[in-house]
Amino acid sequence: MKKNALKRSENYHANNIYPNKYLYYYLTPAVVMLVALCAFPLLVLIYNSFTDMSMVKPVTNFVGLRNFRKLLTNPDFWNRFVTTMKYVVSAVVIEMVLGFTIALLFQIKLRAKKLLRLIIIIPMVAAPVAMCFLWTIMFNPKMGILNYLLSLINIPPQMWTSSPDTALFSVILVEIWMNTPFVFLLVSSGMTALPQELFEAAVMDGAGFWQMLRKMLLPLLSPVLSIAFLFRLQDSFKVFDIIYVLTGGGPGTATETMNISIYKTAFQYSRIGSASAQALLLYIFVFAMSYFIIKRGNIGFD
Amino acid sequence: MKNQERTPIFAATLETGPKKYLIYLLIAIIVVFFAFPVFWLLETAFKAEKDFLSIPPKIFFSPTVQNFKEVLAKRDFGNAYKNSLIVCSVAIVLSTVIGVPAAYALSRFRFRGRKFLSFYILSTRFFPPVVVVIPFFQIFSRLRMTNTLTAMILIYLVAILPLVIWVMVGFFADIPFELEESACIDGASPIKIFTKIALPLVKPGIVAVVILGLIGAWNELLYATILTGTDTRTLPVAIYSFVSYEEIAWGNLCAASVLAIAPVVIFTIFLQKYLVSGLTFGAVKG
Repeated sequence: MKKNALKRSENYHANNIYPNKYLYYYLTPAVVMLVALCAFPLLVLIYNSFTDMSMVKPVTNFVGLRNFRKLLTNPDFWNRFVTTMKYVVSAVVIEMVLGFTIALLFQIKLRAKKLLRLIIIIPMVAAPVAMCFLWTIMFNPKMGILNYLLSLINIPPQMWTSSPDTALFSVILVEIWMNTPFVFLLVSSGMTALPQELFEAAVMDGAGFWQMLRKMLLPLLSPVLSIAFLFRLQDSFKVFDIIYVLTGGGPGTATETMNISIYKTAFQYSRIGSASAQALLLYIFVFAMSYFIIKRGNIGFD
Repeated sequence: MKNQERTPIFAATLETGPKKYLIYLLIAIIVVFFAFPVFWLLETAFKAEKDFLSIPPKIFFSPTVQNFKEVLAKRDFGNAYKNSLIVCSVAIVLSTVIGVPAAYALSRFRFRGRKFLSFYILSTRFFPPVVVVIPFFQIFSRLRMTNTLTAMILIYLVAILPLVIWVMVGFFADIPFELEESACIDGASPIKIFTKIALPLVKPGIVAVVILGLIGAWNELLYATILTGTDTRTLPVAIYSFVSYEEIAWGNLCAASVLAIAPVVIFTIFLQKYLVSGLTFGAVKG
């Protein structure tokens, strides 16, 4: 299930049977594309971040570290950082717990299990822009179905995405709805691959459900769980469309994460330099975090 | 995913005794939570305007296909659908053609910088798209390529490429190298060995990356928002613009959404078992 693809191929001696030129034939197109459209854009971004480049200003000046200094001393920047962290932490924690729980519950005998599983994973594959508009319709305070359903159980109507108090919660709700299926799918597949003999032995020894869960299930699944965690963490830092469509970062700045702010700074206020500096900081942060998790977490990437 | 006959031992206790009914109830709540919005989407798509604006919302109504007719009559929508089909299919074909041989090289050859290269390829997944969209915009503006399908194809091509390479490296590593060695001794050319022996064995991997690549490109909004114009907009941008211009055309919006998500949902129904390895860059095999 988990494996270390590159390390295993260490024993092969393909170099002995293939002339070296084939290595270049096979590899060059991909490397050219990656350099042209991954490495080069990053260099452009780094260059931008040291300038005051703007789409409305013809001259671009080199400003050194000014963009970074301004950002790091700007309380708004830190507010956005906090909003981003709130979003990421609550989304990832809830998605991991919920996804694991659903996967566990789905291990029991169920009629139409395949159909139910499909129903659960649809939110993950359907276009986020369409799904977010759907939620906008449901969130509508006057005519939306959610407030109607709440009224049936005597809960007063909510403002959902229209109020700064509930906007972040609403956005996270949609994020959870859309991405819990990813964790569910991974953990399910991990559970299917577990060796049953171990658990048989544990039952013989009188282990109860909670004991098995804590002492066996979680440790055995930890490779899958780490990967689910890493990917959810990265992807929730990357989230753009959910917030952009649902609230556009508002009301006010209630849901303005770093992603939304970078987008706005660059394409609404035309301040490419400042946006690039912010983007670079975000990238370094996500990169360092991922690197740390991969190195520490014994994840199948090496 | 294997089809399970027997409940695994660790879950067996969940279906014994009266607490079984509590578990059923929980599962029902979970399924409703995930299914309800999609159910509501279908409802609204088939409702006439007077029905979806009524308070309280109507659960039962006489369905109409009027919304679908209106959406399909819009030239913009058909055009966006066509653009999405072109961009996604060309991007996925090209990235497979470029990525699969690269994965083969990475798994079969040993060369200096291989570790660095594979980590670099993995690390492109760490980019938040919003980080690269700024330089993409600058580069493609400079090349006078904004508002072209070619730019979108190139962007999706590189966006999918790391996925293709990583998943396929895993699949190639799983097939024994002896097959290729003996073919070599029998005198087959390197190209033949790759296409006739290695490639057929990794078909499931190719299916996985094609589905995942398609889903990703088909749903992508940010790059498309920045880099397409009226004629070249893809489906997500078209759906986005529905709302900005027509305020409360909920029925139309939902009908358009149903049409937009239909292809990926159909794909998912048939190819569910390939999703896991694709979703995890090959780190977890489904």
